[in-house]
Amino acid sequence: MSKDDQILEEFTSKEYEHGWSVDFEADEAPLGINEDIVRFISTKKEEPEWLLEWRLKAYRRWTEMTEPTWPNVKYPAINYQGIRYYSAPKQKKNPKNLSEVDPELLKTFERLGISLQEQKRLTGVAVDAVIDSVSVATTFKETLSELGIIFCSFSEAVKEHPDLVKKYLGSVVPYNDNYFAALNSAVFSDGSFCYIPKGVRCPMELSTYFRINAANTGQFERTLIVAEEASYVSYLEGCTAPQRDENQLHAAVVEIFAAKDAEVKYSTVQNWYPGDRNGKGGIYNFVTKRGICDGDNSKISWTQVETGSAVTWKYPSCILKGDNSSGEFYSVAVTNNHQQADTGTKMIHIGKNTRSRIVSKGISAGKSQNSYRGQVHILKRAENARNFSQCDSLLMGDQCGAHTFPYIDVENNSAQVEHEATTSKIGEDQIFYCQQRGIDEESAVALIVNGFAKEVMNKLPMEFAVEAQKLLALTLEGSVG
Amino acid sequence: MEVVDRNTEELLINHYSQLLETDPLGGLRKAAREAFLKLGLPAKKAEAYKYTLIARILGKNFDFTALTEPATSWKKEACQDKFYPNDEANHLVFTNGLYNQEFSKIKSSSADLVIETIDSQSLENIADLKQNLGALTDDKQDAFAWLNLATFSQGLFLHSLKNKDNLPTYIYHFNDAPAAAVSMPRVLALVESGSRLRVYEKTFRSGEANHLTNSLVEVDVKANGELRWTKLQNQTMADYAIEGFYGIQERDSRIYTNTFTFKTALTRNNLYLSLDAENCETHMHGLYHLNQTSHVDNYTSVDHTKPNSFSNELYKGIVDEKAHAVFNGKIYVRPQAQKTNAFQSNNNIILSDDAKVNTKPQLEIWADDVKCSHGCTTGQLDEEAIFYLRSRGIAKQHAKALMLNAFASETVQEVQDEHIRAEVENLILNKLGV
Repeated sequence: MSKDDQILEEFTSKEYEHGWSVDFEADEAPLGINEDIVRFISTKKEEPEWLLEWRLKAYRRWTEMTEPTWPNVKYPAINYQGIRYYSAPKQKKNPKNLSEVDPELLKTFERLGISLQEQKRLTGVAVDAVIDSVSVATTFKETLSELGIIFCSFSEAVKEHPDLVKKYLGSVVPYNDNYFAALNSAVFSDGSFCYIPKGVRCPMELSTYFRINAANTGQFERTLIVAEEASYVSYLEGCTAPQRDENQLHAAVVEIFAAKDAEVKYSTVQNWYPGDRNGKGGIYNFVTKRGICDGDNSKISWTQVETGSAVTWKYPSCILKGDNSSGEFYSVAVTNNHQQADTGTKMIHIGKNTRSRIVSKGISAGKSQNSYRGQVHILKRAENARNFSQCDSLLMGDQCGAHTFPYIDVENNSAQVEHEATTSKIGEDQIFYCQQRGIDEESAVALIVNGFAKEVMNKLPMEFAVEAQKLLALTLEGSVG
Repeated sequence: MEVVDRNTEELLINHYSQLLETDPLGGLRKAAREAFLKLGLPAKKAEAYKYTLIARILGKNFDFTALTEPATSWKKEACQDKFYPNDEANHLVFTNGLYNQEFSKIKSSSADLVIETIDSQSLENIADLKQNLGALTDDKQDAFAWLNLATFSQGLFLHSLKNKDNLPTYIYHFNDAPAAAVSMPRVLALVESGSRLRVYEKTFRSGEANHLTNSLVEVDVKANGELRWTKLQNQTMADYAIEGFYGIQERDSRIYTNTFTFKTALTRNNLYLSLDAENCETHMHGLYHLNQTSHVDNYTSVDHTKPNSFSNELYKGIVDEKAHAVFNGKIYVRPQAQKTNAFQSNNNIILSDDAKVNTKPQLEIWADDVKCSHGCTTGQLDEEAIFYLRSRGIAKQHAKALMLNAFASETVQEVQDEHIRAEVENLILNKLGV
């Protein structure tokens, strides 16, 4: 094992690539949270009265709630008064186009490898970038608006499309849903809003980049996607954060509403700073993501590649309310060093002939802990519901753990529910086989891991698949246990 | 676990409080009583009892103030009439949760198998008993195990001596319930190295009132020992049971458990096995075939603490009418338990609109060089297979029965005792209406 350990050592000592920070002039709220802070944020964002009320309602509810303790993760208590709930990079109001955006900001994005300019020209992906909670630039707006698609920052949507926001905000994840969702509802500062009108097939991938930059800041963004009848959209989300010694909190909410015949595909590559190799620092990623297939024949598909964050607590879920609707969840969660992940999904089958599919691949290395926690609930009136779940875990290193907590609740006799899970390590014979054919050990591991995760990777849009594969290799190469 | 209904707990304890005063088991009981009161009955949100709101069910169906009567309606002959026709066996009787030596028929010599009543006297005299009683339930945090320890009386001690292949041992529970009653049977089985013990457990009742059994079995299987334990749970809709089975295994030992549940108002089986040495082997099989409003909750936990062990779990269920089945299988592999192989499977067939199944196969794995898998399915009979049989002239009802019988039989094959196996097969066929 000593050679393996060496390789593991080498690769785990690889620095976090995105661990730099830039000094913007930032517009900040004081540390801590109280009703005044909530009002401060609301005022800053020039929000209407109803939204402030909604935030305050959420805040009051939050103060009565307690932090959940059931996830299979351990972290020191979070000091909610030590967090800055609003930090906006200073910039000229409302940039009309990219040339007006703060050049520092643009540089930031270039360093991230997502030059907005380039994205615009080459890939045709519309990007909405969020730094420290505030949306800074959205590309391709005009092209999209010709089709009637609204893709803008959340605060812009509040101003320009208040009716839509009012109608759908909190309709999938209510303000009192859970502890972190309530906190988010009270202090969310920005995010993305996306509306696809009836019958429109969004011609390009919509994409959001999140980055936490300032120290002691929490990021609380909110994404709301509404797909009207027979529309289609594919949505991407990526995240990074600078390296810092203290832990930072990220508590986002994503809501998806799919009307009749609509299809929404949501892909995430999550690469928040995971902390250093001793488990110091890193992001607490406590996210509530949920979609509702409200209309018949609608479809929501979640794909996630989770490689970052010190602690992840995330269950992208689908409520399958419409008849014949379907939900999918594809996930690769990779943990290394001291990372902990408790992630999975919920599939709530309400409508008839609803289908769901769960494919979850967990890879743990170092001293990390990786849990799958999922629920498949077939309600009484969900005739002919069908679910298939598969959760596989790959272990690398003798100090990591892989855990599975599936809940399968069936109340209808026509339902067909299957669940299977396996846990194993990379076989020595598999590596031996590769080595025999002249593939060195590291490449062999990368090959096997990529093969293990392929089923999920294939579901990612092209632009992301490349990045995700790189990330996976980076996090894990050589960590043979 | 939080305390929900302090009242119920106090009532349970007080009901048995006279034992505490007369019985020098006192020290042990006192600690257990305190542990029980501290834990309290599982509250509504207790994860381990998520789908079985046990405190509420017990509170609703039992008035714990009224329970004082010992069993009277069962006479010796009546009990012995119910014995399986097997002369080469031990037949041991519990009446209302108390081991009844007088009613029992013992064939084994005490040089092979020691059969003793657990009371204050035997506790004083038998070192093995004193050392092992209650040893396995300490860290399990289950209130019912503590309740049993705090309140049981006249338990049964089975000690299978070194290198003996023992006769089958049948344990019969005879309960009478003219009024709502509670019984707390307890068995401690020690299987010494190289010996084999087979135990079959069954319950009878008389009377119409609700009866609650809170039973507890502790087993310790030493190196290369083998234990087979079969439980046949087929009672009435007035029977409530919480049955604990706690086992620990030493090197090269084997445990086989079979749990068959057919009729009950509520049965909760707590099966905790600890594979505490290398090369242990454990097989757990279960079948629940339920209708009416039966509620069965199988909670199993397998703890692999040392390398190179093997566990295999298969639970199958047929759930009809308004029955509710819960399965929670937990496999725990500790960091040092490398090379563990653990398999778990739970298959359910739901036959009616009102039946319900909750299953939670859970893996917690802290070691890397392991092969663990679990699978579970919930569905119904394959329509095409039924059609195939019908097209060959087999009536729908029979086609269904044929398929269900085949589905269930995998677990029945595991039973070695022909009497029990025949009985289980008959029960399945009866339930299928053929």
